[in-house]
Amino acid sequence: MLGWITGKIYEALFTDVESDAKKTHILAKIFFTAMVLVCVSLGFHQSLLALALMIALMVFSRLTSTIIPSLIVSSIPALWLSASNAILLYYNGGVNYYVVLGVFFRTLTASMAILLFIAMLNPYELSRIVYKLGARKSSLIPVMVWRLMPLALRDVVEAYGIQKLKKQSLWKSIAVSTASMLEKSDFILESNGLKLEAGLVEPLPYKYSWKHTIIYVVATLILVVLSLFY
Amino acid sequence: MSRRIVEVERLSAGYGRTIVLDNISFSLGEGELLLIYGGSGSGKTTLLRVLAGVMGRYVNGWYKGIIRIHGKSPSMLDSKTIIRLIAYVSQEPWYGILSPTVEGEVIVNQLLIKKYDESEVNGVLGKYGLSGLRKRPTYTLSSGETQRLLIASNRIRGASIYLLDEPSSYLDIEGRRVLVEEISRLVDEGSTVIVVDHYLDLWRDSLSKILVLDYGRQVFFGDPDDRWFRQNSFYRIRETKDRDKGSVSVEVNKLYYRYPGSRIHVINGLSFKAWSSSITWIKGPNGAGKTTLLKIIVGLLKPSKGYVSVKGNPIYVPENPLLFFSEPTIREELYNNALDKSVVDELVDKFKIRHLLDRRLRYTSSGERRRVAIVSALTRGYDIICVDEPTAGLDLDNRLKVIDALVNAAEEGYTVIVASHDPLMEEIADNIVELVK
Repeated sequence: MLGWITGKIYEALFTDVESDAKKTHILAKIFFTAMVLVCVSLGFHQSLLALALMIALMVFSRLTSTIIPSLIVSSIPALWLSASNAILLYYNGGVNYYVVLGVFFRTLTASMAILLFIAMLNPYELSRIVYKLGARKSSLIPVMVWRLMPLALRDVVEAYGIQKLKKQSLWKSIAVSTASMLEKSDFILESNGLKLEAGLVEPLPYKYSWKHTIIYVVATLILVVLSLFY
Repeated sequence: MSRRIVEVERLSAGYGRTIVLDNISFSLGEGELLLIYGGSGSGKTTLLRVLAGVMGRYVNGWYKGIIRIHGKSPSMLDSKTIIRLIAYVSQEPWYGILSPTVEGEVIVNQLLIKKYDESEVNGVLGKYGLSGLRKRPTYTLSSGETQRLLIASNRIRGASIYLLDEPSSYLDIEGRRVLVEEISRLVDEGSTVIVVDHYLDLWRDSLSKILVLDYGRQVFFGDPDDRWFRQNSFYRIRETKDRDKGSVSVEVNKLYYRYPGSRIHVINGLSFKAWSSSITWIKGPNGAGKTTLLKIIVGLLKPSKGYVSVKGNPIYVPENPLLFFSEPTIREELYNNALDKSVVDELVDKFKIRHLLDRRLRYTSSGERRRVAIVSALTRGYDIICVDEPTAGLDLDNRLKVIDALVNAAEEGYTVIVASHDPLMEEIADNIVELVK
């Protein structure tokens, strides 16, 4: 189960970097995420509507296979917060199921919004932004992070599986995968240190998907209307 | 005589107080291929690091002597000039790739030196057979594709000196043939190539010169003749006993596997058996599903269809053996969870690792880690040992030691299943399962 969820999250974040959906303008993604968080702060119903809209966007962005794993991951903090809320309410006179459900869905929606935002980030776009902000030599860092994270995650999953076979605790898999990553960081520096030192002569070329950007803008406007009039 | 591109005079190098290279001198011209050959610890990688300009810069070490690349010392060159002139591909080629996609990697390398030129990017992708892979995430590339991408990326930077550290380690036979072809093409185009490799015969027809190192000293430099090859291309494997196979411990029946989200089966209706007291060799090209099969046998992956029946306790030793360990030192790894400490004592001697016992695993070599991982597996009560690429990247001496360890395990009655490209496996395998892509 853990392997499956990790696999799906990893798929959502690191595969298909070149998909059109991930080429939505970053400002559109930021405004949409911000509006979802505003809806979460407004109440239970607004959160539910924002959640439905996000799922529709995920389907449209061809992230369908990641909906369930994202819901599972997001439900962890949602369950935690709603259960603590239920316990507090119980000791203060009685559980109000509507309030508990509200906490659950609002946390779930906020967590999903953050996951979707991260899943929609494009390292090449981030690199351009970093370059244009004047940090020319750091502009390769986002690209490198997206390159290396799958390798690191693969190590974590493999180490976890082996420690499980050896009937050892999960902590030992964290220790060995960390040791492996430290070792790899030396290799990475050896191979790429000079490239990072040299930096890019101009920002990476990048083409936005205006179709997806417009859809995000429309979705954001729907949320604005909802938050104003619902 | 062609123009001297790389010149090395009286070079010594090392790490801290340890001297790894001592008094090395050679030179190379345009369009020449030098093979550096020698056992573990002979200083091959250190020499490449010095030439690549990373020694003392990104690798904590020192060097003295004269090095000239196009007549200039690498320490006098700025980073941009070095990466424009030199392509350095380390022993673990995956870490040389910076970008998450194939096309992105070529573009990034172009932009390290010059402005974006789409037609040049397309040209390089086409020339190295990467056009169809341009949107592919780089972490899904096979070892052969990774090597090709690295050559293409260095080519677009205009590099004319190639320093390749064991480029054939992770390649299958076909991949090695393609690699030699590509390197020969670079040489024909005028590039100067220095290759470190343990597979002498692979480079025999392409190399111009050979440099043999032994514990940091230069033993030979020049153009080797046939007699030299005859003297140096042999290997010897401990004579294996005729093993009587035990009982069937693994039965794979009509097995299919496809990764979630993929439509293609990596494994298609495979059936075979593996016995105790025997070695089963799983061979096949890169991407044929060898690692996947091992993971299914030990239960890390579930078959899509078919079944695997396992009689006994299986364990998996991955290609990166560091991920196998649970304790920081070899002694703790072997003794803390052993079922019978006297068995560990016996195996420690048999596998010749007693001198390593108090060493932290982080400071062990790849070959040592693999031997320790096999002993650790044998002493924890596992009777089916699945080992992934146990000899990749090892020199002949270490390869033979690991092979010896596998033979020992089979002779002790264990079921040994090995996924490997190494042709030496043929000498020790009791049965062979060949996967096709």
